[in-house]
Amino acid sequence: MVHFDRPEKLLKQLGPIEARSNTSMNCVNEKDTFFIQNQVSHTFTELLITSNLHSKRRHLHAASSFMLNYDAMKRSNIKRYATLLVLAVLASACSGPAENQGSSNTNAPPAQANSNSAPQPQIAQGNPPAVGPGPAPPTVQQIPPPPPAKSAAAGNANAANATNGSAAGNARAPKLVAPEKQIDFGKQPQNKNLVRPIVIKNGGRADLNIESVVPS
Amino acid sequence: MDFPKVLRPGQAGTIKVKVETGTAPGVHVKSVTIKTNDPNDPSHLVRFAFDVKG
Repeated sequence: MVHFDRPEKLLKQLGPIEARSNTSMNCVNEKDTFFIQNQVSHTFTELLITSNLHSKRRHLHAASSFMLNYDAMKRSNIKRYATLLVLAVLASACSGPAENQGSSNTNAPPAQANSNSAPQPQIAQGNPPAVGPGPAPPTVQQIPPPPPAKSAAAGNANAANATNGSAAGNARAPKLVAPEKQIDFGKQPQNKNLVRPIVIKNGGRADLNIESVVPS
Repeated sequence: MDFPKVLRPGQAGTIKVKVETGTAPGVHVKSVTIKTNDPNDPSHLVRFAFDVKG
């Protein structure tokens, strides 16, 4: 037989939540008075709430929540703790998978890293051959064309030089300058000898050789 | 026909040409060909024209 004059004082003396929950159950079972039972349960819920606010012994609170005498509590309080329990379970359930996801992620990145590392070597292996021969041949192939052009240019230059040489040779050659191409004596009597000097000049830079003067 | 055999660069010379009019009246054209070592004009032709009175 337990008599509860002041349930709050009794709960403070009991201390742990688990003991309180047992006390409340004893109180309910013994059926001292409904008023006391109700007071105890009410005080008990209040203590649970305050203890939750102050975060004292969460594990004991959670354990004691399973040991509560729900018949001695108000149904509204039951709903509260039921929702809290559900949320706690969900939170714990979510925390587990998160770690698993992290581990899976940690496992995934390596695979990706491996996959990435694998392609990179492939690319690197593919690139060296492609890059090495690629640019080199074009450059080599491109290099040959210029020489012909240069040779052609050189040939042209040589031809130009040849022409220039011929021109130079011509410049060095003699040049006959004879201003008069036709001389008109006019009316002349019969059997008369006409003598006319024709002036010629060497306009070149070489000796002008007069091979012959032939009448026709 | 008198003419110099060689002309130095810049040197001038004269070729004396003698033409006989003959007895045939009318216009006559004679020519003289001067052959030299000029590569551009190796054979230079000079014409002489005269009208013989009858």
